[in-house]
Amino acid sequence: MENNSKINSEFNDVSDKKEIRIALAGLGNCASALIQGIEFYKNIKEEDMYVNGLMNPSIGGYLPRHIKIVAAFDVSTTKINKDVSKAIYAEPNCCHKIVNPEKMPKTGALCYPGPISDGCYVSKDGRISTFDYFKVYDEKKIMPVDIAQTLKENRAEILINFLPVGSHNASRIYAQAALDAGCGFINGIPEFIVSEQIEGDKDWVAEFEAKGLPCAGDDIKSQVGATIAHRVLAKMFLDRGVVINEMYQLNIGGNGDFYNMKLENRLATKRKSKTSAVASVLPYPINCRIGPSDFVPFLEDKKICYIRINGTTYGNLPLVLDLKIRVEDSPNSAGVMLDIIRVMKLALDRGISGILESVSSFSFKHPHIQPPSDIIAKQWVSEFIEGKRER
Amino acid sequence: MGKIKIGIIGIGNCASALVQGIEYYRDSNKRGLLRPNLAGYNISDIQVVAAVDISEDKVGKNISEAIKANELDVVVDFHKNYNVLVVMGDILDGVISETEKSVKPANQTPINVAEYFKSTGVEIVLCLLPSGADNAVRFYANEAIKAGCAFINATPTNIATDKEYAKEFHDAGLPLIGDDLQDQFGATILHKMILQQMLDLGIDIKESYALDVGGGAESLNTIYRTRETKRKIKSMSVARALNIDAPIVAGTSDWVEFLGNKRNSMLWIVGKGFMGSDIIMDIKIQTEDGPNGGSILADVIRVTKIAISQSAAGSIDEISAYGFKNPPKSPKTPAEASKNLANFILGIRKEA
Repeated sequence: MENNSKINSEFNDVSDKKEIRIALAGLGNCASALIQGIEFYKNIKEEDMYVNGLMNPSIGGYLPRHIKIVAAFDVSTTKINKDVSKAIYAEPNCCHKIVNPEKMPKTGALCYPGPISDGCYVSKDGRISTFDYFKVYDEKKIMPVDIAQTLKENRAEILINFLPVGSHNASRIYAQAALDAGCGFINGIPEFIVSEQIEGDKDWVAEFEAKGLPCAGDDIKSQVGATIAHRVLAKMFLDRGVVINEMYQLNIGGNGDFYNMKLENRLATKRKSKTSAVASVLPYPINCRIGPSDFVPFLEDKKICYIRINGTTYGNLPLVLDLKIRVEDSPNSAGVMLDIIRVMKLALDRGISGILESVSSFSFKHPHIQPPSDIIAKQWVSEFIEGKRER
Repeated sequence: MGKIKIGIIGIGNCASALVQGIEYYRDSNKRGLLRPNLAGYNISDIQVVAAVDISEDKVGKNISEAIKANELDVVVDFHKNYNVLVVMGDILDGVISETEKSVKPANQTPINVAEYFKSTGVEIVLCLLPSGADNAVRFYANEAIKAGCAFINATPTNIATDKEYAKEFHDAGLPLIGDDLQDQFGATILHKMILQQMLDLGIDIKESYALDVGGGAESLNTIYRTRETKRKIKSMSVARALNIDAPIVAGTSDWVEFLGNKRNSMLWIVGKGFMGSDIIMDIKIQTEDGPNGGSILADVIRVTKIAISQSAAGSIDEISAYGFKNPPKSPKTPAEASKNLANFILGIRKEA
């Protein structure tokens, strides 16, 4: 086995023509963490087993460095018409600088002006405006590009949706463009496109399937974040006979995502997605409050999560769990996205279309099928990579 | 010493704690009071003579029954002859769509409030309305003036800090106290005390938050209506007391229904010590909302009675600075506020 993999990797090094051409809708902190990671992990070899922060150094022979960013779309004047390598460091992005901006090589990919649609909003009382926060371009002066055509021109294979939470229409504009341009579609945000067909919406999955394109989603789950920690702990209570009476998961942060979610009605789908991800491990209904709770500017891209689980155990005695997690928010999703991209590339190579069930169940908070446990979902992904599972 | 006759607007958890406290502390051996006796008044000298609410679960009931509709448990036995009926008030902006589910308005004609205060002999009107009910709070402040009553505003609406209201009360010869009641012991006061201590010991404060979650109607209200204003008040209240240039965020973050009247507060402080060494504090506090306001209210009511006997009129800064988060004039430290209050009781006032 060992010898084989060595031979393979040497073979790869010699004729390393592998390439996964991706485009990004929304060049925020998540995109920044992803792109910095591709550079940061450029020297990973296929035989590397344990790499800080990566679940799978290699997936079917694809390494992080094989991912090539070919186009990005954004609405911030600080980012548009710049090389992506520069734009990811522009305000209001505040992702940790994993790679020093001066050492970040040019990608050759441009950040194009995308449609604003409902990606930004002003609250009724005018106190909260993401137009100001994101420094959005003036629609009278700048015309958004044709997304599908831009994707085609840059020969993108996969389009990733990283728009702000609550971008209902804008997400669908990009999903349509992916269909029209023949790209696989990864939905990183809590808009229900891949996981379920919401009322009055079209059957996106059927359309992707009809065009022979894969899709995965919805709402990316962090590597070790609030959702996964909460799920695992709730499952442990359940498996070990402690009845959960009630629980909460409060999240606070200081990045654009949290600013955007200051308005309660902007985050209805986010709450639903996060709640279902945790509540789904329990067979009984439970009083629980889960969601983005507050915006604390000085935290920037740090995220704080407080989890509380009140349970009743042997002899009706109380058992209380109180947990705090402190983590850099955006990089926490990037490691997961690196895997999703490579899994989707395998699907493209194999000509598989429609929902990629295994990777969706493992890597997203609101998948079409909530897995019974994360270990099982991980198994599904491994089987898919090995070709033992179709999707 | 006579009785202190008060009228309460809003029979929620805070009113429940006060009304129960008056009964509970008839037994003078019970603990948990900041000042068992204040200038000759015991807490049991406070007499509730009028009560206004709009909820169908409360209006028309004896106040001792009406408080059972709140999250806070009723733990005391009331006197058999305890008899104060809750009357229907004007709703105005006291209820919003999000709180309507838990607070259903009664289908009754509102009473003439000023007349009601007069006929029941109210001396002090205590405003315990939900946060953000600005119009309703102003309405009751006006009714208090009409009825010749002192006014204590426990809500964050600007009344005592509003110069025009201060003048109106002054001209009417009535004391005005507020705004935004401070807890006896909660995150706000602890946060200030710790930060002050760190500063006094030469620690450079880098960043800090004090965020809380609760489950009462008040938290729900805050989330949907007044998060921004309350955030400003609380953050400023801390920053002002400290006079430091570091990001500080304080306020309510979220609403967790099952917490009921409980409140969880999370404190986070990062400071730098000798040669920039890190000092990090991570604290969690769990309190109960209603009772936490009760003790301070009992003090504030008794001192307001003294203000009336001293014929003090207009905004009484010494009382406001002692018991409220957003007083017209902020004291430097809680100790200074207590000292000023003691001087006021003795009749010593610093002219502004």
